[in-house]
Amino acid sequence: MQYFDVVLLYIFDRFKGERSLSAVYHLLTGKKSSQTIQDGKLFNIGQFFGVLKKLNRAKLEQHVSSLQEAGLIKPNQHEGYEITSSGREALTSFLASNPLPEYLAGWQYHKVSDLYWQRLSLFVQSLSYSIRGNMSFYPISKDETIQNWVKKHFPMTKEKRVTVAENLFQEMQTILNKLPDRDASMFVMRLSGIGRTGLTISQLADMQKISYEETSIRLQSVIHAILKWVQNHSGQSPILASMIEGEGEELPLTLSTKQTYKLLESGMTIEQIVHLRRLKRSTIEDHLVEIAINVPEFSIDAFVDPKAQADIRLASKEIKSQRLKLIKNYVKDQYTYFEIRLTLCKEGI
Amino acid sequence: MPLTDLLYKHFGYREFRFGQEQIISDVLNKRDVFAMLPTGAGKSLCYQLPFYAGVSPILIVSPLVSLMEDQVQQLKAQGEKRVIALNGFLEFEKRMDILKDLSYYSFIYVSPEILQNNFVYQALKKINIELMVVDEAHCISQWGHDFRTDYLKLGEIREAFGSPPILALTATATEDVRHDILRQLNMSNPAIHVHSVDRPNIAIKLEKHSSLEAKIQAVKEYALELKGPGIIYFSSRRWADKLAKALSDEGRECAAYHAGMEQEDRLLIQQQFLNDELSIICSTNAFGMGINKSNIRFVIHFHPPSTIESYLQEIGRAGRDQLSSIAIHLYTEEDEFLPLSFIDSELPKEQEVKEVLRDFSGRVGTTYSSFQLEREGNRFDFTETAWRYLLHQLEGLGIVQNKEIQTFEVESCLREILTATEQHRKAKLLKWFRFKSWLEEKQCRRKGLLERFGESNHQVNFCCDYCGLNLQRYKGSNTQLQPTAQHVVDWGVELKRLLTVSKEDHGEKSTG
Ligand SMILES: Nc1ncnc2c1ncn2[C@@H]1O[C@H](COP(=O)(O)OP(=O)(O)O)[C@@H](O)[C@H]1O
Ligand SMILES: [Mg+2]
Ligand SMILES: [Zn+2]
Repeated sequence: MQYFDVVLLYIFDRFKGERSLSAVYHLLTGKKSSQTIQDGKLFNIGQFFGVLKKLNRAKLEQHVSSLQEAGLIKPNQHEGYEITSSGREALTSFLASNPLPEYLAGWQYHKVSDLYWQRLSLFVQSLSYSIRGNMSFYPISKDETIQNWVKKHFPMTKEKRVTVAENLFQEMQTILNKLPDRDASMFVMRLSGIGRTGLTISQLADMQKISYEETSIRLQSVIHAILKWVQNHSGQSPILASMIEGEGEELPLTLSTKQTYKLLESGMTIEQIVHLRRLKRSTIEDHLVEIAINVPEFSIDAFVDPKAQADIRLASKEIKSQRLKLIKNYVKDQYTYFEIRLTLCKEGI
Repeated sequence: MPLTDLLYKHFGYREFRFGQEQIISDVLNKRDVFAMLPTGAGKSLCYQLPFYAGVSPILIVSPLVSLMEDQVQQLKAQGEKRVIALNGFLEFEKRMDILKDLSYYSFIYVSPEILQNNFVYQALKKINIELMVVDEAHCISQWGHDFRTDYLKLGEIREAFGSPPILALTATATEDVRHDILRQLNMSNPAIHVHSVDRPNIAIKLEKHSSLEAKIQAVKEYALELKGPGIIYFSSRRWADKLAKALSDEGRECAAYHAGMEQEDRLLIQQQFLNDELSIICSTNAFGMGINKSNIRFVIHFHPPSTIESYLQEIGRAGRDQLSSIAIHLYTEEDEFLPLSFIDSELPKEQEVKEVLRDFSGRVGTTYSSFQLEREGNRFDFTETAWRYLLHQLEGLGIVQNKEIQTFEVESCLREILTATEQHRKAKLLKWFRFKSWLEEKQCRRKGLLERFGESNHQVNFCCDYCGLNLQRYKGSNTQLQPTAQHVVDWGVELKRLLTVSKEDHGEKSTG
């Protein structure tokens, strides 16, 4: 069984057969739809959000069908899959010897982790060359916003650069020491600097004799670990902390949702926003769900009557399901899908 | 300052390559210049150096986004900040910021399509361009191998920009094409520098195999024996991946490089290769246009390119340092069919044309900016080339006029486009046959190639397998056979090496 299969089993296990294969795909590739975001929260698998951004659908389907052939999962009526008992056994025994990366937190960090990695790796590369007096190298990131950020925050004098580099080394070492040795090693080998260019994911995978997907997920878990540490101990790692600057406080909302949020805050109703933004009502409703999930202080009472909320929550408990359709049947169509979704996602937090 | 001093000061080269100095001095004398120099001869320098002699701003028209970006990166790595590339892939706001401040830039790269954009056009008109460079100028001619309609408008545009002197550059252009270029660009009393397409320092070897297995065996042996660095060309990503893996298993550092990889990984491979940390790249034909590495010792074709021009382009990546290098072409009978599917991938299919026509017919009156039009192909999943081709057809039939969709009849237009496409396909097939016939000739390989460009043969020392070739000359030492680099290392030690300077380093630096 490959690592990717384990990830799939894990997700199917959590989804309890209540979501289709598309939902799995969107989760792994980090498609920012409100539904995916909601799923991540609801089923407690947010750590996988967007960890395999380049996954192709055919590959997913191929793995799913071989898992099915092996009897580890079985299809159900919701176009989804359920884990079988032998599937669960296989999963448990695999995880016992090779647990999922502890720090993986796709949901929390998907928005910043790419940016953070790019800043950090370009910063390290630039320091590495410059402390040896060499400033002509090909930057590891072509993205100009990243290049400009690094330029703006780069120490001016040679002496300062040497000190900053030394300190950055200490900061990174402190964090990496807390992680599995293999993960730390892959992370360092992916960095570029004087005398050595970073390795690609495939090269790292070959080096460690693990799969591409495992490598990719492990590398991200290291970035997530750094982010987490830095958020809680910014005083101890000022340089690493400075690289999240400007991105940390922002709400993790999609752009369009942000606009809706602003309008809501200014006191507009859903209808008014639909009209003003010339979007479908369902789109605005998706935005609301996204906001409800991401903004803890956002109250849904204005959109779902508190009594309705109580009924819906109760229904979900009684039938032990998060499936909208089942709940809707159970409450005899008294409430809309939108009301049910909004309530469930608030509940999930 | 004498030109050679500028050359050393800004580029670090001691002397000019063949042809460069004359071209540059003609440019500095404000003459129109046509220059044909083989791939890798150093054409870019011919417009880059004049900037350091006071010519600025310089407008460079370049056909491919990837080419443009490589040039920009290179100039930047060299410490030149005032460089910008304008193309359809820039975000709108960013583009506006740049245009507002266009006079800041000294090197402005544009695609011919983007010159059709009114904002770009107006902004460029204001800044007093001192030199207009048309790179890959063969794109201007119907007879050239990758004709681009928007190149035709360059003559007018030049006038609108106050008729700055023009420098037209190309590596491969037959007599007809040269003629076309001079005429289309209205070049007056041009200085003409035509050099042979021949690359005398590259030996040529053709090698036919009876089966695919034999060919695989041969490529493995060459990869192990030949002195690197080298590039091996394949027709597909799958083959590039497969052979890269096989060669690594045999202990030669080697990596695949193609458009299917993540951008970050592609960049890493490119840099490992540039820094000689990787000796072999297994690449697709479509990729690597911008690899600017001077010490490539061999180029192997595991699959054939589809034209002689691309063959020359690809082998031309070897030996840019003018040292002895080799190009080996491996082939079997079955290879004949590969270029056929490649040709098809560069042309729109019936279903795709239909889809676009239906879509457009439902949106009559829609207007585009040139930027949007360049990107519109993405919506239908077209390749860059296929979309460009179709757009050309749409404009030709008046379906798109001044970037606005007009009313049209779907069925008849579909038929016309399909007929034109079929003709185009035939023309491409002819080009492939022209290459294929070369493989089967019984004469000096170099002579055969040059004949196809209307040149007579050159006598060179290490010519080709027909004239006789000693492969020993191109083989590496045994040491390269040991798998090196990229071992698991102690990460703590490695991180420390990257970020700290040892005592000796300090000592060295304070004196230097
Ligand atoms: N005078 C020179 N001496 C040494 N190398 C040079 C010289 N001029 C150009 N080069 C190098 O030759 C290589 C090919 O140049 P390029 O302009 O890309 O070639 P092309 O003619 O194919 O456009 C580049 O690496 C460039 O830096
Ligand atoms: Mg060139
Ligand atoms: Zn010969």
